[in-house]
Amino acid sequence: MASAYSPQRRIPIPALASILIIFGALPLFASSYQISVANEILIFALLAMSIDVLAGYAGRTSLGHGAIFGASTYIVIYWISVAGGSPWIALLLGVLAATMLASVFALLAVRVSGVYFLLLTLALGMIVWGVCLRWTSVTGGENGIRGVGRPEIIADPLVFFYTTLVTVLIFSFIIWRFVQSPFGLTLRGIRDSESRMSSLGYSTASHMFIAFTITGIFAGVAGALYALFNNFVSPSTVQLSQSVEGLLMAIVGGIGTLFGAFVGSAAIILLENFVSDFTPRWPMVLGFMFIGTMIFAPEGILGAASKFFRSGWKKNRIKP
Amino acid sequence: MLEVKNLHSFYGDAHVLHGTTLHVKPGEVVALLGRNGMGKTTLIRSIMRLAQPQVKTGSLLWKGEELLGLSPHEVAKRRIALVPQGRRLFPSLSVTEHLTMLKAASVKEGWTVDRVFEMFPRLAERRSHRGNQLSGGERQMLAVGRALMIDPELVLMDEPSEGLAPVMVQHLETIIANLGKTGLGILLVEQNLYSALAVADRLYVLETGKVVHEVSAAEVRNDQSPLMRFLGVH
Repeated sequence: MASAYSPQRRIPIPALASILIIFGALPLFASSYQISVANEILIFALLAMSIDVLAGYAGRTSLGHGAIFGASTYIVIYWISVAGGSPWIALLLGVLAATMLASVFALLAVRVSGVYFLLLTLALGMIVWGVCLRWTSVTGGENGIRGVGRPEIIADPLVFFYTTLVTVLIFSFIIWRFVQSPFGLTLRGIRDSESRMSSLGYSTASHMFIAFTITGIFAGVAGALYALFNNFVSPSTVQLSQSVEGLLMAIVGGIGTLFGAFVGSAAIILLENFVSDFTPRWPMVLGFMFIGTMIFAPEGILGAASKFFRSGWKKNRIKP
Repeated sequence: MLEVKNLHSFYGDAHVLHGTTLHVKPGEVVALLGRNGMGKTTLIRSIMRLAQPQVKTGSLLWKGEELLGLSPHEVAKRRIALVPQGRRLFPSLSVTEHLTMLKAASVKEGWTVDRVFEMFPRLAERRSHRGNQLSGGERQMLAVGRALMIDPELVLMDEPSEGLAPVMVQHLETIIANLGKTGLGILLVEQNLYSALAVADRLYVLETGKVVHEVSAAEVRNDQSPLMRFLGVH
């Protein structure tokens, strides 16, 4: 039986419901292109959330998750297109490969922190990129590998969009439950002070290894969905900019907010897609947006919004 | 239970502990006295096997097992808990989370969340507050409660009364004395002689990294002058 003092974990129904309503209702009025953009937003939100678990809760900023995401994409497309295997097995293999790759990254990276962790994960990601670029007999080199479409049951873009939505919502809940668990609390403890956690009986290296590997599963799921979404993979899918983009999405949405990843992913992908229609200098606009976010809302869009509403509520409360 | 034998610890080239030797028996409250910079915290950190200081020679025996060579989490797994100087809570965790992180609220064996809150009702009232939103006294209670959650047989307390109001120090003394009565061994680092005397069975005086005086609390209560001499209080 739980103690009267069991921590109360309120299920984030408002966040999950908002995502479900906003994305679920989109096909009612959006064009197929806009639905496709929304699909991409959902997939990258999952990648950004996997990065946020490490950066926001465990205090480790990874620049290797783009490679883990891309490795899953490669495996899925290779298994379907080149090996001619079942797409469902391909999805499982993609996630499995991402998890294994994450565990290798974790073995090497968990004993360091701060800038060393950042650089080590960056270097590991670069190795994956190098392998994908040079191992042309398997990866197709710079030409990449083209997919052969999705399984028939989810071939329709609208069905695939809803499949992505449901999958991302389920994994969002799993990630939320993971960071709220006692294990998630230990990650926050490690972020606050590794030596304190160690003197309480925790092997911080083992905890970080498990956490990194689990985030690899989430990045792998995102990568597998991306394979079915994009039907094409090339070294650009595993390159550093993928990790950086995932990290920026987490930062713009709000590091440590988890669901801010959806806001960050939407902000960046929408800007990329719509600003590029008006100017070829869209990366500059994106740059200004990042600078603006860092100056005016360093806690991210969702972090700033919740801070604003909390302070507003407090002001109202003290009114006579 | 704990035997520290001829321990030499260093911070880089600085030789801090010069052959420190002491012991703590099961259920005994032992106070370690000494002025600032004498090596009290260094000794506690050496026992916990924290990365700094580096122990170069000597022996740390816990129930006959050598602790040197173990990592801090392995020491803690042997049921040695630390209440660090300055409380050192986790600023982002709530009071309840500090405790449930170590043992689920549903566990009913040993020290539990309920038992800690019974001992510190004030913490129960503040259970949803974060570590950095508590007063000094509340932080100290939580630091003690957190240490108890690993069901220790020995607790190392590093200056728990530091910076606390007198009424809170008195409350803390009662708690330490009660913990001692439950059979828990306590090695208490203190600068406040009267706080130490209120709870300790035995006292050591540490000077420049060496134990220079060992005395029972009963002896000190009869005659404080030898101890005062060692502490440099005349």
